[in-house]
Amino acid sequence: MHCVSSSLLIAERLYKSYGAIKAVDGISIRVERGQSLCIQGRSGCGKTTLLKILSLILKPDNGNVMIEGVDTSKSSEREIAGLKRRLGFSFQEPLLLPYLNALQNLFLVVSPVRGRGSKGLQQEAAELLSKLGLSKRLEHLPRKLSVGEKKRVDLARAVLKSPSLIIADEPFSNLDPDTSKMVAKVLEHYRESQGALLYSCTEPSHSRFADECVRIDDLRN
Amino acid sequence: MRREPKFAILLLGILAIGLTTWIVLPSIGEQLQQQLLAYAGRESTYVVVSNNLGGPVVGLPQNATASIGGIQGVQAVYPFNINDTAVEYHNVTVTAQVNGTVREITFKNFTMTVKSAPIGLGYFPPSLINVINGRLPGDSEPGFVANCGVQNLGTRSAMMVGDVLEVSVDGIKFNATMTGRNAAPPLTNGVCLLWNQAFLRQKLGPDRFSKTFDSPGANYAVVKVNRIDDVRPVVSSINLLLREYPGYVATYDEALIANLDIFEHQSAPLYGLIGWAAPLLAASVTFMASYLSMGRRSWEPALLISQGWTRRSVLRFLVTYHATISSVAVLMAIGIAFALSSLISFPYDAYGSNVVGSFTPSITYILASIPAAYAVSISASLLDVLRVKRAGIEGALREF
Repeated sequence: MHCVSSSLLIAERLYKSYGAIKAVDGISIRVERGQSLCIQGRSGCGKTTLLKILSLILKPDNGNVMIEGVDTSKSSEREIAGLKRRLGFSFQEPLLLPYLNALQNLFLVVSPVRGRGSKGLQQEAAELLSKLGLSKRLEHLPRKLSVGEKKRVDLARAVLKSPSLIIADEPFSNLDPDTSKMVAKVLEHYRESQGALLYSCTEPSHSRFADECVRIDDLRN
Repeated sequence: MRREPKFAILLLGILAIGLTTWIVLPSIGEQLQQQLLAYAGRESTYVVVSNNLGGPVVGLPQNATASIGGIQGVQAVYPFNINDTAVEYHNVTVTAQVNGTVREITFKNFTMTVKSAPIGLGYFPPSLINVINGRLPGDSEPGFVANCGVQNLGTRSAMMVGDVLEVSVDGIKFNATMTGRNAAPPLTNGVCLLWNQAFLRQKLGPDRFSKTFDSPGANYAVVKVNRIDDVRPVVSSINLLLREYPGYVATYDEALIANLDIFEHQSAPLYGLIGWAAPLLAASVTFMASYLSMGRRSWEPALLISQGWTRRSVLRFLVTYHATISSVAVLMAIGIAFALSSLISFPYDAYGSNVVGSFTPSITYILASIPAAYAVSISASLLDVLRVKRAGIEGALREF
């Protein structure tokens, strides 16, 4: 481990290109503990790529990501896996195992990550899904869920990990206003009790759920 | 954690079929080879001593048959007397060419002569009796077992079980029914009708029977030699010995020996090839099928890794999963292999005879299939994880 800062997440001068397309072009961002930050930008401006880099799913072509003071560019695979366990990532396109029901998609995937002492995880998962308005969908397979419902299951999986930071890619898209409030309440409760939240949105109105909102263009150096 | 039942069943099916092939094909190859070699060894290790002069012949003295028994490579000598038996037909129509014209000629009485012998010790050796169609005649039954492919001129077709012939053995006439067919070495086909000794003794009377079949010396002998390689030298030695006895000659099935040479030098290596090629082929196909079917789901390990699973824990999960599938597949494959062994028999045209082969799953291949199953599934799991590593998490997730 290479401790250089007490901030939760610091990313400096990130670059990522797909051929000639510069998806992420010199972006820097910092997330403090307890912070709730929204990155707003139009579709295709590189929000998803940026969030994937920050959640260690994607490696940047250039630049540095430090999580809890650990420089990820100098970390081993094992250390990266350890850091991923302390991050919760929710995909823009919900990614659920098709043969597991909503409840299983949470606790079966999360239990090895939470490790020992994760007793009652199933109960915890069920309660979390209920808070997200899915109490009647616990046993449903993904194909029986709407896009919005799948999105909430995907988000619940990130929350259930009890991470230091949740990174969510457009968590409020495809949700009606009431459901959006329900999701925001769960995320707010998580933030108050455990850690920080970083999410992206296209609609400016979705930024109201965060303490602070920045346009992605403003993050470029 | 469990994976999709449909996927598990597919994988289970692929593995079970592959492992069954692994067990069954080489078992068949190995045992077919053994069975054919045993058959060839059993059928081709005979030499027949007969007299090629027509009419009544003087039998070989006992010291001659004893000398044959003393030749190196001879396992046993079965000397006995055969009889020229008359088969009488009435109103038999035959097609013949007379002065360049094809004509049908009807004979009011037509007699055909065939060789016959009773079955028993001192007569036609019981060890050469293998009734493949029908049964042996009873002690008081006027019946015979056909040991040749003689035609029934009465029906103008091949002799069938149930056909009745009017025969005359040493002047004693009676009707005899064919009760079965013997699958003896083709070399002994010269003895066409085989009788129940008790019946014939009763029918001819003890004196006439003894005069016909027990007279001193023997006009026919079946010689069993130890090995196929002994056949030619034994025949040479016997023919040297038989020079003193006019008309007697030792013969062997030259075509059979030639076929056997071809089998040993050409076919047998092919069966050996099946022995090791079939398991390799089965393992390769199973591995490819497993790998390809898992490859379509590379995003799953990638999702787990994105959620904080280590590659090692993903590998452990995949290996545990596939080991479970493999264990079930091995049990299924063993069951299927034994089921197939009880259901399948394969006729094989061997040197003019129809050999019915069968197989038992080889314990060697059954035991070898267990590590093979795990090796295939562990390799496929390992490659699956490596594929995610090579494609990157994001690349693998795009397959979703």
